[in-house]
Amino acid sequence: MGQDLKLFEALYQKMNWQAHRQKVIAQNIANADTPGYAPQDVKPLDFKALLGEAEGSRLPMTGLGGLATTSPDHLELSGAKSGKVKPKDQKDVYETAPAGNAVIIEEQLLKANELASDHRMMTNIYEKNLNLLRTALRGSGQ
Amino acid sequence: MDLMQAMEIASKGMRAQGVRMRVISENIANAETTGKNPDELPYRRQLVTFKNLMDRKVGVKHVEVDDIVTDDSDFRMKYDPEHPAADERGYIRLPNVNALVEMMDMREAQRTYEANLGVISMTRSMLNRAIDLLRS
Repeated sequence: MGQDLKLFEALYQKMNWQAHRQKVIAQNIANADTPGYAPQDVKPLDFKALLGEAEGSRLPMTGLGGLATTSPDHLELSGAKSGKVKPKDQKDVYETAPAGNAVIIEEQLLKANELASDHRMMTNIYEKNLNLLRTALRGSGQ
Repeated sequence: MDLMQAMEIASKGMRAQGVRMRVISENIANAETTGKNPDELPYRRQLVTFKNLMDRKVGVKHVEVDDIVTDDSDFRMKYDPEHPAADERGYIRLPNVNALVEMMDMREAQRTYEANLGVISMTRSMLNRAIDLLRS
């Protein structure tokens, strides 16, 4: 039971991260013609590790690699749990225009598309999990 | 919220391309605008420059039109002695607008505009999916 709720927490983290990445991609595309602009991206989120932490081990949820809080007196590292990953300049770019701009719209749109389908999957899992809980609560009598 | 900010950024990008489109249309419309007499200069081509700017209110960096500058390249010359703006050799000065270059610029602006539009519709569908979770 508790595991299911932790799955929700992991899904929440992942969707939060996806929203953040979508923002970064939107910024890249908006600056597709800005001289000297280098495209940015965020570090990929290890959902497996997130889920592993959530389900298997006895360790408490640490979110995005933040500090574990084992006592209510512990201070939470700001930003560690809210999915705020700092965007970094993208490492490998296809090409750089003479004006110093390295944004390829097709590449960015591909990323956005991938992100959208990933997000669809996350919302589907969320829904299914919710239905699972609901079925358990209803019992056999419907 | 990140998704709303993504929409905001994309809309700012569209607005910047809109300004660019306006300047391009100005250039094309004035492609043949000459002076009234030999001393008067014809229309000068204009260019838009962009920059990435931090918006403290929304807390995001978005694209903004930096400045609209004039293109200082040479004017085109054409032999037309009948024209009121012709000099003593019979040449008139025409604007330094090249329709082909403007067309290419226009295509680029259109492409970026469409990409921003794509981001908005994609972000909107993501938001809708998240909202739909409440419904189930």
